[in-house]
Amino acid sequence: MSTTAKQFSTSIPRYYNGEPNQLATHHLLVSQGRGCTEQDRICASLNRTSVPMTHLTLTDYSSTAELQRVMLSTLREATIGLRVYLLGDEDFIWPLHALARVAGLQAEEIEVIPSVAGGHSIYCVHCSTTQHGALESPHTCTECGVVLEIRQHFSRRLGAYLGVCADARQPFAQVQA
Amino acid sequence: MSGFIPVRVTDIRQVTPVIREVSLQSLGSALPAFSAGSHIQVLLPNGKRNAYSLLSDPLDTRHYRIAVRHQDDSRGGSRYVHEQLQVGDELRIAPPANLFPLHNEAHLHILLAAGIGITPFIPYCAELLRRGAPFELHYAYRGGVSDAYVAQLRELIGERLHCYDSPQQRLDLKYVLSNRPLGSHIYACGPQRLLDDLHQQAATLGWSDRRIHSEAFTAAQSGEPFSVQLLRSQQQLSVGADQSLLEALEAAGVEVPNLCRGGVCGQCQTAYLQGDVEHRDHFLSPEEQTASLMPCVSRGCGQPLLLDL
Repeated sequence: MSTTAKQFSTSIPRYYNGEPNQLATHHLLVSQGRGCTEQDRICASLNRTSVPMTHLTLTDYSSTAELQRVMLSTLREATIGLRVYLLGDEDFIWPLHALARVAGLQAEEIEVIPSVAGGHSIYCVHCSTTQHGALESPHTCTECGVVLEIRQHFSRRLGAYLGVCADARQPFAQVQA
Repeated sequence: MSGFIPVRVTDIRQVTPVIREVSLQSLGSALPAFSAGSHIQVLLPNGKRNAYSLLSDPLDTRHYRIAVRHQDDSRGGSRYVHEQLQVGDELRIAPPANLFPLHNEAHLHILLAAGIGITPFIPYCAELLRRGAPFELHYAYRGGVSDAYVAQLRELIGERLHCYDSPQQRLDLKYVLSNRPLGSHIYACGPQRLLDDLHQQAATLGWSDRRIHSEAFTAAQSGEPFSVQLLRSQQQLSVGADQSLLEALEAAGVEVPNLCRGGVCGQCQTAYLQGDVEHRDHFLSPEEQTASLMPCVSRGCGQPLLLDL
């Protein structure tokens, strides 16, 4: 294409810009609670819009699974016009994102707001485990020991950055001295 | 894209006073399979070349069927089909292409047809029934004029069919769009005015654009004759009042890739270097229109056109 429009990478997540969706007829905020410095500000900005807001927070539930169950039943009752805002660390928000997509929301109807302190999830394509870590290469997989390069590619489905073998001649754990 | 397919007209049926259905069978090898929502281009002996939705069942490739509405302002394509085309005639068609496919993530498919816009939804219904997918069809028409296939659809999909015989019964877009579950997608085929109303109403109810899929009745409209110069092939062409620029280029042996022939798919985008253009497409941004045009619908006006072809 010959257009000079600014190109955004779609391989890493694009996070919430802080503007409540203008088309929304209802907002649903789901937050992790503890450690969410942004929570008060986002609650306030959603409350300032003219449409109703529902807030589910993990601190009101016994487990993440319980919160997910409540969110899913809320989404089953919801109608088009709803916009969802997910606030927490990556391990918290991306499973909820996948759930919201399954419930029928479009990706652009879901805003994700990562809490600053949270680390990143890394998915090892060799042993299929997800682990926590910094986005720095090389990264030695904590499970299979393969030295990984962390790609600038985030899987929304898995909720993790993909880690692939850094050295094709060494697709197995380093020999330990 | 493979070449054109020679076909024979095996049946012509007057479906309503203004709509004719034409069945086509291949003269050579079997017809290619297609997906619901596909169209073909039909090359008529009078040089006109229009795109029509396929309305046969996608699993039945023994023949293709299209339906053509008689247009009072026809540039010659629709009139030819209604007045001259005969069973036994041989034509050429371009293989099917789909600019209006089903959306695989949808949990509920809401189909919205106006008049001859029903055509892509006939294979949609067959496909959705086969998938067991929830759907409903809202169909606005004029009884006794443009009410094609109502009885057939009623039998096929029962109470999933909602009919609006205008002007007595009005299609209420707000009602159709309200209180829909989160997995709903809407597909509309009809005049541009209906599509504009749909987008506007949907936005006020919180629908994001990704849930709205549409296909307009798109065909070139007549205009003033104009002339065009081709830079690379060193030709000078005249485009007649009832001819599109694309048709004039094809008549001169200049092939430009194209699919919809109605200014929406973007395939025939062509650069121009000089001249004034009356842009009639729904594809290019105003910025792009300063250097490109869609020859399927857009026309020259004022200063003569110089194309980079």
